Amino acid sequence: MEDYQIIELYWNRDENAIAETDRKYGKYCRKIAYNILFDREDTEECTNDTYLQTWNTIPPHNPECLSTYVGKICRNLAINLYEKNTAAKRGGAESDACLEELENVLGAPSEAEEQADLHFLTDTINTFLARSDKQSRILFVQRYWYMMSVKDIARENRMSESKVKMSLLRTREKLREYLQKEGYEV
Amino acid sequence: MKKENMLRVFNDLNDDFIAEAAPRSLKPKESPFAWLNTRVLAGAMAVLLIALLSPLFLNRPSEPVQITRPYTSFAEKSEAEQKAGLALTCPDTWHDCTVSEYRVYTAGMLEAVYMNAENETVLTVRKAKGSDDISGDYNTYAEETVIRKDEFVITARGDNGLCHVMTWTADGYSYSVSVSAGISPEEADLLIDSIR
Repeated sequence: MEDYQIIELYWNRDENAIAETDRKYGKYCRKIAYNILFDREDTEECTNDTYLQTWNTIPPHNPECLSTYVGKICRNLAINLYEKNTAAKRGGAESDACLEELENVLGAPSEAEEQADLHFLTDTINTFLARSDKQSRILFVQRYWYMMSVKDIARENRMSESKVKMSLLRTREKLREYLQKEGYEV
Repeated sequence: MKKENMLRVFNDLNDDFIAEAAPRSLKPKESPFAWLNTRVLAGAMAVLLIALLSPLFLNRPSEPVQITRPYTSFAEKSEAEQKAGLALTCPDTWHDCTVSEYRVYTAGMLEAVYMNAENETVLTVRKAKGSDDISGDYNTYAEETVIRKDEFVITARGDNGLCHVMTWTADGYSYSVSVSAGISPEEADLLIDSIR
């Protein structure tokens, strides 16, 4: 079923909307959630919550791209669950590795207040990515949005793992420089 | 920066970047007849265009093209309430902004939209039957505050001490208030007192 047909089901409050979303994007959502949570049960819970939140927000939303719409909801819910799990001392392997890599770019985790408004920071990162070359951008988004492992990224892009690691390192360094120029303390 | 916020910073990346980077293994398999659907759709669009444009060539008066909105607009609250099947109590003005229109969505939700002199939406108030979150706002906010009233509990989400989205349920109805610039919890408390 095409995205616009699925969205129409939501607008018509037809419960088949959820079944069709699961059919088309279930694997997509589960992978996003699992890469953060690293737990099958939590992943299922997160995916089900994603469908519920999608049902509750369409209407009035009318997304242009259903995949990124549900993907963002799923990722956000997974982070909320990750937060709870971290408090309970349970972690997600891939997300922990991503966070270690990002510490030198965005600052070490601390109890202190954030230095920057997160929305402005996201906008700045979007501007940075828009100016980056396509391949670097794809690898970066696959690592830090999709939380894919370096091995999976290498296989996906038909590159060696060392080349992926080098590209990610260079992009992180460029991002750090860019954020500093924009006035962020990193 | 907190670990969770490092993850959240990337949540609102540009949709195009996210779609561009979607791994092949996670992309849904396209139906072998997807091209057919596209062609059928293109054909239908062409027929529609011809039907809409033909009056220009046939010297017949044409109907204006209407773009379907997901809601119906009303200038009068009473008409909107009748359409939605529920009553909404909310201020007529807020911070020198008046209600520019009332909207009734197909799902039976009633919304009051407040705009400033520059025609920018500064406040929206929503009401619908049920207990779901009807704010339509799934943005990530750094702070979540609970405001306790005598009869119900309000969840306020926002940043830097300001509330941007407030949601609560009372007497079988769900409410949401969205403030684009954000307001203090104290002002949110007062505003919500005027909404039923």
